Amino acid sequence: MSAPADKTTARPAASGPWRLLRRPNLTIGGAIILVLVAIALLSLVWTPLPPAKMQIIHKLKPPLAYGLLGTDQFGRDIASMLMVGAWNSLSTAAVAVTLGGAAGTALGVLAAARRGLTEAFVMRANDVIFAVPPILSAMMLGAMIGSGRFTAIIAIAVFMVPVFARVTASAARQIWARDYVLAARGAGKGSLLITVEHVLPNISSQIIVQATIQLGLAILTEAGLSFLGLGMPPPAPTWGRMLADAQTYLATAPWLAILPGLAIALTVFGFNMLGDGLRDLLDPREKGRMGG
Amino acid sequence: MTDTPLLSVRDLSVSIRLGGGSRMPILTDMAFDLDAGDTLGVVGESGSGKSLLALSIMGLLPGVAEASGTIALAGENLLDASEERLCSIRGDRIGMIFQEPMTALNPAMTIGDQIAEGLVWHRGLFWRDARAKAVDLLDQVKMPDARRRAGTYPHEMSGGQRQRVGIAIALALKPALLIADEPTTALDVTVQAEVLDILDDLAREYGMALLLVSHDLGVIARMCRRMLVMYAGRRMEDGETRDVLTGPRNPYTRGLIAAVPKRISDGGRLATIRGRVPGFDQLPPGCVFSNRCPDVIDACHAGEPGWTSSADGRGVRCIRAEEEEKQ
Amino acid sequence: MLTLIARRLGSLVLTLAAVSILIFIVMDVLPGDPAAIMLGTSASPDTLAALRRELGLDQPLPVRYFLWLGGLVTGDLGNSYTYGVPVAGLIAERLAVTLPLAFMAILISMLIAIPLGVVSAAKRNSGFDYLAGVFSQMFIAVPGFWVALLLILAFSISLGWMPAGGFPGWDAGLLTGLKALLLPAIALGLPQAGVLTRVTRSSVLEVLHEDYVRTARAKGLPRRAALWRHAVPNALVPVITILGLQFTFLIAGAILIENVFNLPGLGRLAYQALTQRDVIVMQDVVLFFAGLVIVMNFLVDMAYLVLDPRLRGHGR
Repeated sequence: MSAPADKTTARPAASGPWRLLRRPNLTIGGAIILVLVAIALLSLVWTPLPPAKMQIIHKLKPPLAYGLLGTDQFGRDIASMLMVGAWNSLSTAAVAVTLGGAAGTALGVLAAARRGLTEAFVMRANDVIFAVPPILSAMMLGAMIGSGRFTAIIAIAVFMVPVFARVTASAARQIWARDYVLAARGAGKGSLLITVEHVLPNISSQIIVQATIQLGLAILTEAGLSFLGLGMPPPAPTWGRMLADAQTYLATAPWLAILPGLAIALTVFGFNMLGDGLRDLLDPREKGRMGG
Repeated sequence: MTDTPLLSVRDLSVSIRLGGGSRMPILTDMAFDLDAGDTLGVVGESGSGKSLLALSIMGLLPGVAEASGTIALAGENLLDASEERLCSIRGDRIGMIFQEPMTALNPAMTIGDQIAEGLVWHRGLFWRDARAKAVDLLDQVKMPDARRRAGTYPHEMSGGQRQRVGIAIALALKPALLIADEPTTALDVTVQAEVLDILDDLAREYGMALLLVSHDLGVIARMCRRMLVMYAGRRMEDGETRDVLTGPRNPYTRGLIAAVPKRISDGGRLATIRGRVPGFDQLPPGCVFSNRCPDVIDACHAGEPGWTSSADGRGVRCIRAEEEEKQ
Repeated sequence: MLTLIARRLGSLVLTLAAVSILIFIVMDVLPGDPAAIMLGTSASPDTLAALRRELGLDQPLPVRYFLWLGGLVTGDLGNSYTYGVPVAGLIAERLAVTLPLAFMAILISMLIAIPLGVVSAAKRNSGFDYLAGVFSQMFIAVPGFWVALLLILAFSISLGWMPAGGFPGWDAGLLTGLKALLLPAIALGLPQAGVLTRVTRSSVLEVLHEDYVRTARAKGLPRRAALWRHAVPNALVPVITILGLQFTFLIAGAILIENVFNLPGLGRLAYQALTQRDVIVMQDVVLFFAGLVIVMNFLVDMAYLVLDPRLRGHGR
């Protein structure tokens, strides 16, 4: 009465670079960050004008009237300042996340390996550090030893520790429960060896994703610190301080406020997209991710 | 029994839309009748599509599924009905009990409220009155200490108790048709008997028609006057339960019956049907059972047999059975 | 369940104690003499010594800590050097601005995030879902203090609807006060809204596949009713948890926003303490903020117990 079931037809799988089109998060995020890093690196050797050069005669010019993006209240070229600011933000964030991430990961895998008291202590320490946002700890440090790039890096890095510790601990715990790890333990393998051989490789993708997202957050934090004057001191241009200076001239020169903020937002957006895209790529079991 | 059956299914086919635009057929040529107050058991193994059948009657098929044919409830084709119409029918005229009692109830709502909700929604009762009726219903499903229990949460109950709550929810509006999809499969054996008893008593008391889906021949034998055997989305045999079980006409039915473990002390091997249930994309050509059938002949591979109904109220899909009939 | 609450309370106290010790040690260990910082390097050694004695800096560390702790318990947090008034009073005064601000921000973020998240989940992969996704990513990425500047640009300078900053005090009227806090609350709440939308969406998506939603529909509830009455209440539990976790970032945002809008809140106090080198105030404010976060997390745990009956401890 009816024909045998139709064989299901499949579309030929997309190959090569076209696969990227199926992952908009990865592509967009990756593109933004690539451009950003390129600009930041470029600023080390070339900017349209020296960012610290004050030309009062050309102060407060709107974009395209003088220089690509206009000038600030001292006649400094905004485009150049943004470029160097990119390098400052990126480098600060990168150092902080690397330091904090490494320490946090170490703590996290330690807690998962040792369990018991060690784990409880690490988790409690996490709660304690997590209760003090980096802005606040930077202010505290700043009050004692003076503000600057070093203080900012320390404050951000310290806050990164519990973030990474939490993520790596929970991921590591799942690996420890797996059969081949139980087998290795049964065979007498030491915790350190198991951690290095089994746990770390398996959680590495989650670490990478987390690091990408935290880089974005670190840039936001660094901008906030600079906004309050707790970041790199003048004359080094920072996006945060550019925004702080812009407030006075909000009515007369709004581009001073719009442009640096746009730079920050775009950068963080790029890192978030990239992190999401990486997460989809490296762990396709994730259900219900937005936008992809 | 009235002349027109309460539920009349004809030419029902359900297929699943796959990525890439193709479709995989699951149910093919399903048809049966169920009279008011009567009982029909749908038997099949996992992968036979029997749960999809139950869902299609309720109109709760997943979005990727498409159904065609007729599912007539008292003459009205449910497949043509609007979602709004289906909502008014669900709960009120058709009730459903699901397989997994542990997850079928909302953990954040008291069981009394979950039973009462249908009454508030369909009959417009005040919550206070609906909750009182809910306690009543809990009594009817033999829940001890019903008044106190009505204020408790699902996680405080065992699987058997939760399934009784499920029955209470399904019966709250006294629907004409009750669909039970593997209602006792997830329960302990001792509890199964209790739950089936309750189901049986209440269905009789309310004069409800019962469509019971199960893989357990024992459950079907106990609860259902008529039965339908499914395999790979097709009906293979139907008829009165007693007749089918004592004189099966389709080799698949025979295999199923033989596979039921019996207390025979000869120490021999358990009877099985060789091979495995095929996936819906790997069906053999011709009769879908042909690659596992002990009575297969060449003609079985040529084309899928049609459904033949005989005068004694039985039907079968098998060319060997047709031959026997003629003799 | 009472044992559960008692245990959480104990945990709270422990964490608070740990935080206070940490802050104290950090302020102590760091190079820098608080007296010298407060008076400046040109002060004479005698004045420095006198101040040190006054602040109790000549006592050993544990003694100082317990003196401080004792002060905390009795409500005496020392006097602010710059203002000359008890710090406790200062904090209370500033709280009257920061707390309403924080709650308004949370309210705004939930008002945006929950409908957006729920509808995105219900209409998964639709155009609406995609747009909502883009918006929430944007909200997360923008710095709150930049949003603040943009809001001032739009609503104060261009349209003149709202004040550009400052707080008239609650004595000037409830509505006036709230109006002054509106733009700041939006700036503070928008990044939160981004995070919450995503969490709501994924939480609802998970819950939508649960069997009890199907049971609800089998009762005859239409999709929308099953969604809002059965799925959403269960989906909100993880959302509330995230809200608690985000409180730290809320505080950080409040510090920045208060500075942009020149609101006399706790965040601005911290900043002023920094610029004026008022170490006592700084220490107390940091502890207070940390305490707020910890208490907030505790409250979230309690809310968890209310929302999810399964956690109440008398199940099977």
